[in-house]
Amino acid sequence: MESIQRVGAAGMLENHRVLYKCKDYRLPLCELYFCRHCLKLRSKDCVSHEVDSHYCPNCMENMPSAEAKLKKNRCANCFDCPSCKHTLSTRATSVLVPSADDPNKAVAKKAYYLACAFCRWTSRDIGLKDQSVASGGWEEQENPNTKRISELVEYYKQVAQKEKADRERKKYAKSRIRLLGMSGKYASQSARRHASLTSMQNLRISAPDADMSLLKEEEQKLVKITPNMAVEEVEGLPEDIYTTPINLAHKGSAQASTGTVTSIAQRLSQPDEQPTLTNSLYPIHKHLLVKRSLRCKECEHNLSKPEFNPASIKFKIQLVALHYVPELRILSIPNLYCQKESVVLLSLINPLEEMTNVTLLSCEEGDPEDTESTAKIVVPSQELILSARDDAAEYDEGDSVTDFKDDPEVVIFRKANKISFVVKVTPMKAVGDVKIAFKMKYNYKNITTPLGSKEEKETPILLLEHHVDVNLGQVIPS
Amino acid sequence: MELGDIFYNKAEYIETASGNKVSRQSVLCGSQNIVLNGKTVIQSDCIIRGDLANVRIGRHCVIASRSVIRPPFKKFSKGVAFFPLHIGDHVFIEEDCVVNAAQIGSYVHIGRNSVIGRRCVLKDCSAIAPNTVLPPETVVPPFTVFSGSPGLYAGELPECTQDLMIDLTRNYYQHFLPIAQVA
Amino acid sequence: MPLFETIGLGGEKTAVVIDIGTSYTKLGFAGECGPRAIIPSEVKILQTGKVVRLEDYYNTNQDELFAVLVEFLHQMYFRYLLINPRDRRVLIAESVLVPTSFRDTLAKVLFRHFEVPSVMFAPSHMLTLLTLGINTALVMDVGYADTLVLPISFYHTLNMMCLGKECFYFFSAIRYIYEGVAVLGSWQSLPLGGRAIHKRLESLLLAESTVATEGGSELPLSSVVGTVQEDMLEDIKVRTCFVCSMERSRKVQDAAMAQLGLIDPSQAGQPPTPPPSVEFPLDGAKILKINGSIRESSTEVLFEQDNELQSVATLILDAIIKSPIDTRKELAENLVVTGGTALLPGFMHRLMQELNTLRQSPKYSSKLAFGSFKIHNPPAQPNCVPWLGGAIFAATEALASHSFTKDIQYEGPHIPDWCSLNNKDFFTEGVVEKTPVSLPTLRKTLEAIKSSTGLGAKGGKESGKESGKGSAATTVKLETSGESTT
Repeated sequence: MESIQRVGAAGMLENHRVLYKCKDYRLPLCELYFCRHCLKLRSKDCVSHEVDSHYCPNCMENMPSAEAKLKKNRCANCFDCPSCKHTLSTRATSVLVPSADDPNKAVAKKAYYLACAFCRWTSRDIGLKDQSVASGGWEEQENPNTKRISELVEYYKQVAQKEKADRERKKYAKSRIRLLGMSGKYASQSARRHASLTSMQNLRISAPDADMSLLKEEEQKLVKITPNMAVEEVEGLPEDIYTTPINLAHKGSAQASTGTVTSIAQRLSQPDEQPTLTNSLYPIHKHLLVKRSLRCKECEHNLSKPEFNPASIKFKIQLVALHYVPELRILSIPNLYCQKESVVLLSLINPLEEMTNVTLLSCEEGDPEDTESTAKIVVPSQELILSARDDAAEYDEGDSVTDFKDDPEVVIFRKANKISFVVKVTPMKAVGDVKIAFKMKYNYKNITTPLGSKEEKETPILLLEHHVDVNLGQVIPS
Repeated sequence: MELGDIFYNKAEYIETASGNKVSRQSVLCGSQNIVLNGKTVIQSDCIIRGDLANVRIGRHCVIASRSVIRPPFKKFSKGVAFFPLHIGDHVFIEEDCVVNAAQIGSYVHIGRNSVIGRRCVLKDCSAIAPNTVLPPETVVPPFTVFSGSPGLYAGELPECTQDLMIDLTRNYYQHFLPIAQVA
Repeated sequence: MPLFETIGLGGEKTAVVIDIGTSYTKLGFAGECGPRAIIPSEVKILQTGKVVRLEDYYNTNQDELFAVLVEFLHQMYFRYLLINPRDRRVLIAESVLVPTSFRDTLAKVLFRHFEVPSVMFAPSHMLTLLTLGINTALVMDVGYADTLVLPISFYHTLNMMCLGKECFYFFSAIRYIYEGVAVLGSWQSLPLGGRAIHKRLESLLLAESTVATEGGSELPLSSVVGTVQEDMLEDIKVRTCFVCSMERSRKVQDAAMAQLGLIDPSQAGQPPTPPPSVEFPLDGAKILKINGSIRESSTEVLFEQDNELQSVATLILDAIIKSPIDTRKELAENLVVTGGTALLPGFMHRLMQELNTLRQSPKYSSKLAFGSFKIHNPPAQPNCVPWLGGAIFAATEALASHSFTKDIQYEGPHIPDWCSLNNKDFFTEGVVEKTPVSLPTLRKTLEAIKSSTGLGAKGGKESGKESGKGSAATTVKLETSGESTT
C-alpha cells in the first residue's frame, strides 16, 4: 500500500530519495509527522491510529459508529458488483404491468435494477426482481446457519458462566480452608497442592447439602444443545461432472443461463456462501472506509485529526513534518565516479514562519545511525540561514532582498524561503547507489504553550536535530 | 528531488495574460466554452471538447501530452445530454489519459495512460495510479488511491497531499520554460 | 487476569477473532455467524512494492516478521474491521504446527504496537468442536501447507457435577485433555494440501498443456513460461479441478500402469474417458488449453499413497489406531474435515470411500473393529469452521479467563501456551496431575522434527512414538471420565 502512496505527487517528486530517520524507520518527510510536544519526528508506525468516523466511499455519506457496527461496516444503499467489485449503478426502465383498474390494460411502470457499468453484470442475471423504488428494498442474503450458531453461542455462554461461578465458589472455599488450616510451614508448592486435594475432599464431606442442591438446580436451568449428527453417507459428485464442459467465460455463451464457475476472489467476497457458480452471486453492500486520527504514543497528543465531513480535506489538527521541519531536496547530481570528489547541489526549504538557521554535520566515524552511507561528504561549514515562509511571496514579482552575507562558494541561490547549496561527495563504493548521510540541526521556536499559562512568555528557541539519508543514485563505473 | 527544467519551443505555445500556456498542437474545440483560470499548462496533442459542454479548469493545472478532456454524457429516453466538466486547482493529468469525469476536485493526480469513465467524481486530494481504468460513475474519495481495471480502492495518500500537489504543480509551471527565453 | 474476570461482558466490546492461515486469513467478530472477510495472508512491502506472503517470514528474523505483521494487522483493523485495536480482546485460532517464533512475534505486535487488552491463542482443531456441540471428534484440517489430524476430546461437567468424583470443568477440561498425552499422542500430519496440488498441477500443465495464441499457433506451455504463477494455479484449481470417485481413480491408475507395462493390459480394462478439456484465458490474446485428465489427476496427490503408504485417508486411520482403544469408535463416528482444500468438489465423498476401503486392507482390518465412519457437517464452509469455533468461544466469558494480558507476556521470553495459563488456579493445582509431555515441549519436538526432515515431512510418526508412553496414563483418565459422559 505504501508504494502506492508514492503514486501521487510524492512519486513525481521522488521524495523517497531523501529519508529522515524516525526511530527504526527511514521515511520521506511527507510520510512523517512532527510531535510539537515531544519535538520529535513520528511515523505511521509509532503513532496510534484511531477510527474517527465511518463513511461510504460511494455516496460519501457519514455513518455514525453505532450504525456502522449494526450494518457490519457496510453502506445500506450502495452495492458492489459481485463479479468485478465495481460499484453498481441503479438503472431505471419502464415495464408494462396490468393496470389496477382494468386487468386487460397494461400501464407503464418504473422499475429499477442494479447494473455494473464495467462488466455488464445485472441483478436480472441472477433473477432478482426489479424494485419499484430507486434505492433499497433488495432482499438480503441470510446465512442459513444463523439459528444453529446462535444456539451454540447461547449454550457455550452458559457453560462458561457456570465454570466461572464454580471457580469462584472454589476460590471462596479455598480461602476458607487457608484461613482454617494452612500455616506458613505448609506453604510450599507441593504441600499446598496436597493440602488442597485433601481439603477438597473434606469440603465435599462437610459442605452443606444445600450448596449441592443449588448446583443441581442450576444445572437443570441450562439450555441443552443437540449435538450435531454425523452422517455415514456423503453425496458424490454428479456423474455429469465427467462429461459436461465447464464455461469460464463470463457471458454470452451457451451456458450463461446455468451460470459459470466463479473465481476464488468472487467466492471469498461472500464468505458465508462462497458460491461456486455465478448465478448465485449477490450484490454486495459497499464496504465503508474510515477517517482516522493519529495520536503520539508517547505524549498522547493528537498529531492528526481530520474534519468530520467525509468530503473535506481539511484537518482540525495536522502536525505533518512537512509543516515543521526544513525540507531537504536534491537539486542536481553530476556524474558520480568512485573515489572522485563531485559537487552535488541540495536545497532546503523552510516551512516555518520564522527565520531559521540550519547546520549540517557529517556523521562521525562509527555513528550507530549511519548504517546506509556509501560515500564521504563535505558539508557547508557555516550555518545556512533560511528566511521565513511567506505565502504572499508567490505573488511578489520582485527579487528577494539579498541582505544575507552568503558565501558564493557554498550558497548557489536563494529564493524566498528556499536556499540551494553545495556539498562535496566522494563515492567510496564502486558499485550500487551512492548514499550519503548527515545530521541536520536547526532552530525551532517552540510555539506550544502549556495550558493555563496565560502570560505571554518569551517562547524558547530550541535546537533540533534529525538524521537524514540521501540516495544520489548509481555510481558510474570508472 | 527538485524538478528539472522542461523546455518548449516558444513558437509552439500561446501564453495568455493570466499565464496559461497552451500548445498550438492541441485541439480546443468550442474554445468559448473552455475556461482556464490561469497558470495552467496544456501540452501538445491534447483534445479538449468544449463544443460538447462547458469545461472549466482551475489554476496551476497541468494536462500532459496526448490527453483527452471530454465532458460526460448521459443517455435519456429522448436522447443524449452532455454535462459540464469541472477541474479544480493544482490538478496534474499525466500523458495519454482520457478524462470523461463529471468533476475533478483540487490537488488530484491522474497517472499516465488512465481512463476516467463517464461521470466519475474525483474528490479533492485523490490520486489514480497509472494505467487505471475507472468505470463510469466511480467516486474517488479524498486521500485515496484507485488502481487497476476496474479501478478500485488500493491505498491511501499522506495527509500533506495538498502541499505536495501545490508544490508539484507550481514547480512544474516555474520550470516549464520557452527555449527562446533560455537561449 | 483476575482483573478481567471481574469485569463483566456487559460493557465490553465484541472481541476480534482471527484465523491466520498459510494461504488465507479469516477475520471477524465474536458471536457472528461468519467472518467479515477472507483475505490472502500477504502484505505489500513498503520499500519494494512487492507482495510477500506471511508464511515466507515464519522462520526469518523476528524484526522483519514484526514489520510485516504490523502492516498486515493494520490493514485488517483499519480496512476491514474498522475499529480501534485498543478496545478489543483478540482470539487467534492457530494451528498447533505454527512455529513458536511466529506466535511470539504476533503477540508482540498485538501488545506493543496495537496495544490490545488481551490475546488468546486457541488451537483451531479444538475450536472446530465448538461449532458442532460435541465433545469428541477426530478433526482433520486440510490446509494449504499441510494436513493435520488431531483427535480431540473433552468432557464437561454437565452431568458429573455432583458425583463426588473429580470435577471436570468444561473449558479447563479442554486444556486438561489437550495437555494430556493420550489423545494428542496420535496426531498425524503430512505436507499434503493446496500447495501439493498446485505443484502437481504446475508440472502437469508444463508437461502436457498448450497455449493457443492469437495467430492460431499452438505452443506448449513450457515454451511460453518457465513456471506458472501461484495465483493462476489457484484459479485453475478452484475453477476446473475436482476430486473424482475412487472407482474412477483406480481405473485411471490401472490404465496408466498397463501403459507402462506394469500390469497386464487385459486386466486393466478401458480407461474412463477424461473429462472435457477447458480453455482458460491467460490474457486477451492467449488461451491455455487444460487437458481434461489434468482436472482430475492433479488432486489425486492427496490420496495417492506415498513410499510410506501414507495419504490423507491413512492419516485418519493411523490417528485412530494410535488413540486409546476405548475412544476409537467414538472418534471414527465423529470425523470433521476443515480447511480450504476440503472445499474441492468431491473431496468428502472420496475421503469416505477411501476410508471404508482402506479399513478392509490387512494393515488396518485387524485393528479397526468398530462400526462405521461418520462425518460431521459443520454449520459453515470448511475453511471458516475454526474461525466460527473461535467466534463462539470468544462470545463467552471464558475468553477473559483464558486470555493473557500484556503483563504475562513480559514474564518470559516466550508466550506461554494458552493451556498452561491459569496454572495457579486452585482447580488445576488440585486435580490435574502433571502430564509427562506438555504442549510447549510437544511444540518443540515438532519443530525439531520439522527442521530435521525438511519441510515438515512426515513428522507424525516419530512424535507419535515419542509420546506413546504417555498414552497408558491417559487412557485411565479417559476411562474414569467415560462413565460419566452422556
